Amino acid sequence: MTPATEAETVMAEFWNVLTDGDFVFVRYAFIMGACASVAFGMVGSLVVARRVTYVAGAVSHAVLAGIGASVFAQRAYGWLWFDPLLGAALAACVAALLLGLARFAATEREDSVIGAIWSVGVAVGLLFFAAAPGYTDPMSYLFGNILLIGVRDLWLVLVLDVVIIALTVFFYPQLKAVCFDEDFARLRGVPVRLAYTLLLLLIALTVVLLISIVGMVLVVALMTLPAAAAGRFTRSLWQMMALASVLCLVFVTTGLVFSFQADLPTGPTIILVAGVGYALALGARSAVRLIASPGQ
Amino acid sequence: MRAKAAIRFSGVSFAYGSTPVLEDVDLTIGAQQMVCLVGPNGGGKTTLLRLALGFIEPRRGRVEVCGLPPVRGRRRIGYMPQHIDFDAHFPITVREVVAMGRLDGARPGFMSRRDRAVVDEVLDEVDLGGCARAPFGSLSGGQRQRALIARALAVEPEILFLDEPTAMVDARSEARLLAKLRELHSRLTIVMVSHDAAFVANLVETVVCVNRRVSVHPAHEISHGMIHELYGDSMKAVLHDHDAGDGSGNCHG
Repeated sequence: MTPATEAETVMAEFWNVLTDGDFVFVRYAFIMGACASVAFGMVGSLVVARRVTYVAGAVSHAVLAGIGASVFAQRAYGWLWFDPLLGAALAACVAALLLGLARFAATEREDSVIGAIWSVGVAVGLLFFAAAPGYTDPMSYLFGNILLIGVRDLWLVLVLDVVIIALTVFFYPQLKAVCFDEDFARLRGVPVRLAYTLLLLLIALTVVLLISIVGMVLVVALMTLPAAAAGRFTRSLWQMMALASVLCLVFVTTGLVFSFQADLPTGPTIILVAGVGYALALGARSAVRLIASPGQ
Repeated sequence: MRAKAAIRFSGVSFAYGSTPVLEDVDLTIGAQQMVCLVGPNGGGKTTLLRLALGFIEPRRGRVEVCGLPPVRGRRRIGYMPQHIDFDAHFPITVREVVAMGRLDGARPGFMSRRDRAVVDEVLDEVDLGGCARAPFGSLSGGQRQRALIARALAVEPEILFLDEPTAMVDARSEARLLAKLRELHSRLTIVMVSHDAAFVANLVETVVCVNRRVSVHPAHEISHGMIHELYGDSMKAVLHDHDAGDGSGNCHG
């Protein structure tokens, strides 16, 4: 069988899985990934351009505190409405606001606060898991588990997705200005603190979108690798956002197909695909430069 | 000094922590004056600019921009910071950098037709119309300076602030910059910070020597002896970037 025919067969099988009622969780994961890709491409580009990957890392790890709190509340108090994704979104927003305070109001070093939020968030989450009645395996939240995705999660992700995209489009000039030159943005009357805090909140909400699929440990890679790869081929931020969204969709879909075909964990497979995609982008860009100026 | 003040410092003192930077500064820069701030590193030149821009507040005294507190008056200032402070890998075109001059606070949405016309006009004014779609990071040092001047002009300012306009600029770009600033002087107040004695002597009418306190001198009075007295050493020319590009209108990338 030629590689082209093999790829066609794999895609046909994957399509059958998507439409098969027995594998509804794969369909949910695909829909979630497709919806989240646009937000990931847009916010990921801002993260890469502003060089705040470490901030996104702190926010993504802090969500474990919210997930742990929701699991504890559901088990101990029967608060079934307090969904783990809702807990994750709340914790991410609190972490984002604390990071905003550290940036503008506190005298403490920003990197120290980032480190504190990063590790304390994980610690609080693990303690909640330990205190919750019954046994909870944190691995699903750390590295993702598509079996946990339900219709309710899809709706929550869809709403968050629309909010993130609308805010990013609406305030694109301000966000771009704050990322490129904070002083000049301030001079033009842009409320810089508010805009930076908005960026942090966008990062926080975006992190939550794909936690169910790739988990909190790996989600930052999916936020930054498509954007970093796109940055090799684009001249402006909006072009980077558009290409990063497409790449994110390709990486998530390819990862889903591979993980289903080879019976591998979905989250790590998607991230591996994104890593390979990034490496290929680096190689392709270098090759283009070499061809354009062979003497150098 | 002319009667109408563009910028006024009255009894201004400022310190970073316990380190005093400016002490009891009184300085008035009149409308349509061209002034250069000179002085040693750490003498307070950039601090004076940042006070006028409202980025920092004085410990004592008062700063006014066009008769207003800096936070209200700064919208009338076009500010060109040093281009070496920018991330060369940031995904932004020359046109987008210049369009930042048309930002209007938190007003959402995209540029109006008039905004776009102003951006095109100022790009042509600094001879960068052909580079509008080029990545900002791909420009030479001189071209970046001109792009940042265009951004400052896109504000349609009354006052232009230039922080080390000749830093990392080659000789040809410096000559173009000199001609451009002379032309702008006919309609704007220009305040610049520079270490470049030759550039300053050729251009401005008034030199403000800043070394914790300020003293104002006509440019023709500035001599090597006076500079030696101020700096404790000879005033050196800045590093000129002859490798950064040809300074022409050609774009790269």
